[in-house]
Amino acid sequence: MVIGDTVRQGAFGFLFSELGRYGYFLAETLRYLFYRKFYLGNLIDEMNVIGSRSVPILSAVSAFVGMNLCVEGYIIFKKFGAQNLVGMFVAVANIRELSPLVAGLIVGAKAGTQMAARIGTMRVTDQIDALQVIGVNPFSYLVIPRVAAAVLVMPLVVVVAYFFSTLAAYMVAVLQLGLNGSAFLELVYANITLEDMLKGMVKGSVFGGIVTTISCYSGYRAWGGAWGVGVATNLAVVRMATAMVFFNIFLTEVLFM
Amino acid sequence: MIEYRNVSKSFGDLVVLDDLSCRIPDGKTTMIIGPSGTGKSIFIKLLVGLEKPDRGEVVVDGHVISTLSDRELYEVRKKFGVLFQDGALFDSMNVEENVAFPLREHTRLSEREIREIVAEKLAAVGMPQSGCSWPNELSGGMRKRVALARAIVMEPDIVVFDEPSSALDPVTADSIDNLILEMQHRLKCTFIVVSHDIESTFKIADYIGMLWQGKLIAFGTREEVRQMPNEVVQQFFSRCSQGPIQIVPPVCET
Amino acid sequence: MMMALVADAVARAFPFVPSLGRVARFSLDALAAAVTPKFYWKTLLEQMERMCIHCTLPILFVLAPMGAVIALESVKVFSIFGAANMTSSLLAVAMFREIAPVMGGIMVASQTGAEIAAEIAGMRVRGLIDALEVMSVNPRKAVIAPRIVAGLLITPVLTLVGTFTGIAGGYIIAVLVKGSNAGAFMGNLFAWATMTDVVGGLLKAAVFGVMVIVISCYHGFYAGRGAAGVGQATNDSVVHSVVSILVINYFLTTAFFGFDI
Repeated sequence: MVIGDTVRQGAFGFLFSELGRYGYFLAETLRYLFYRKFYLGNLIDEMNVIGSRSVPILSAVSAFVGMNLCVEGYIIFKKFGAQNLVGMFVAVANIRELSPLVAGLIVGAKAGTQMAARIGTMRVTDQIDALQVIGVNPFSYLVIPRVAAAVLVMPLVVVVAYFFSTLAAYMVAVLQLGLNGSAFLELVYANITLEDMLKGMVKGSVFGGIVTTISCYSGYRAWGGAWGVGVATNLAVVRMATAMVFFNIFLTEVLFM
Repeated sequence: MIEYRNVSKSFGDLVVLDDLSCRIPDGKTTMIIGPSGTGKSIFIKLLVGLEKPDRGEVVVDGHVISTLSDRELYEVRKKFGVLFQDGALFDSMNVEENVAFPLREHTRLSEREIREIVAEKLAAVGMPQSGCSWPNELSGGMRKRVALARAIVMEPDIVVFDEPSSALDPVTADSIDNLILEMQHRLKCTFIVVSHDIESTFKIADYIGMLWQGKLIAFGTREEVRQMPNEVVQQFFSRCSQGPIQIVPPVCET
Repeated sequence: MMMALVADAVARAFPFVPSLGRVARFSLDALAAAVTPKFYWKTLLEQMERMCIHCTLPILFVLAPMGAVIALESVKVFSIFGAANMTSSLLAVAMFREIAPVMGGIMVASQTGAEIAAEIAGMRVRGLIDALEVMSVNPRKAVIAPRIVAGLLITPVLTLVGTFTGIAGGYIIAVLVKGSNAGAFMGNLFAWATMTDVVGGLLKAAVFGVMVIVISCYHGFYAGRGAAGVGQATNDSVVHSVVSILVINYFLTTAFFGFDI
């Protein structure tokens, strides 16, 4: 269907009709948020899924991202002979850009694609139709708990990512780059402000919303058996990565400039 | 009382139902038969409000399905139990949770009462001790039995079956047919069965309607339709490849 | 006995260790299939074409905003030191070394990687892999080796395209939105970047490309049953590709650029 549509309408026609359907999906999600029953149990399950499945991987990945950031920062700052200031660079770049982005990417890749695959499977095996016939609204039952869970959990996830990447950067600074550890930490403390922290968490929350609505949307519109589930999952990842970095510009401009 | 009034539905250029009208009798088993791709699944989806007709209306007990608000539609749907093609059991829940799901959603029964009802319904479909199995551990026939238990757990007025014997071996298919007969006898509610299995049609149907090219070309009691001289109907019943129903392979434009 | 117990405990505590072994075995098989005749040249060309067509737009859409954000942040920071001209120098180095290879790799993983995982898992689920074996066609040669070679060759190209898109995105923000001097931006663009950065970035991209495609093929090849199996394979391939890219990237950075530390 997706390929056929692209051929018929051209890439841009397809892009706009998909954007329109996604907008409609968002409107429906918002409507049912206030309209029908709220499934608190599902919300807690989904929060648990995001927390327990994504956070261990995320901690490991953010550690490596922090290590890399520290090495790169050192190489660049050395050009000015200011390699001792790398702690400042690590602290600021991490909380403003990297931690929210990496948290969004990993939660998107792990929890988001899983949502797309699960909802897609439910769609192609008629389970969503079955929900509707039993009289349970699939938006209230499937979509809203997932989106709400991500929006609520992501700020904490960002803090975890931040902690691990800063810790790993510190270890690289001391062990690999031979910088003074306490001077590094002082620079980090001096440059983290509560304001930046909160703004980083807001970014994370927005990314969580983007990732989950796109995953649920892609799964919800899956079509055509096992193949369709694969296509839905694939589309979900590409769309969420693109949407995330795109909104990141505006968030940076609005929050930090 | 279920009535289709001049219902039309098409997808793009493809006309699936074309000005279709019929009344489905209460308390009987009505089979809707026809070759593949003649809109049998859409017939059901229109009835339970999963799709809206382009023209015409579907009326269930005085409610026009396509004009109901969401809230009303969800109320009317409580009259229905639907058995989907491969069961459509929720694979995140085990058998017992699947059957109990409508009760937990729509009633305020205690856990003990729910367990009793679920055990009773599972016994009725011949799966008495299997509450703790998971859908992916069950064979196709067993999944359909569990799905039937879930469909009848709310004591619906109308039970809809989408291809109950598809993808089953002959023995299992026959056992599902017997189960449908037995359930009809016990529940006395309206059964609507969509199928292309002729043997089971003659076995379980009280009324038969035949869909072909978007129209209902035959509707009546089992014997009436069986004797009908229409050549499409007779070709379908005789399982003969010669006749008006033809498989047309697609032609590539070069 | 003791060894078996230890192995069991390790497998329990870190479930990925046994699958690492399977991935290694799978990669070696695929590598052997790629270097021994017969090689499916036509499939390779088809895969290269498909990768280019499907990945270019996602990479452009992701890297332009990334370049824009870097410019946005660094214009502000460098203005404090009165060194706004260095925005473009930093942007170019960051793009060549880190952002383009990493984000390019991630987009190849999410577009082509997920697509390949879904496709091969679909072949597995519908019995096509078995059908190939029965027709005595080695699926590792016919299906997997060409895709891996395509990943090796195309990912660096896409990364290079992405690098310049990122710089263009940075130009739009720095010059057109924030009003930096256009001449200074272009003049300082290659003040810091050296050939090492360019080649190092492209080597990174090639490593990521091969890694992503091997991981995706592996998950597709050993997919479980039904629609759920295909979804799971796609999901796993994306997660494992993204995680491996971000982890390996640190070691590659140290190896390629860390000689003057």
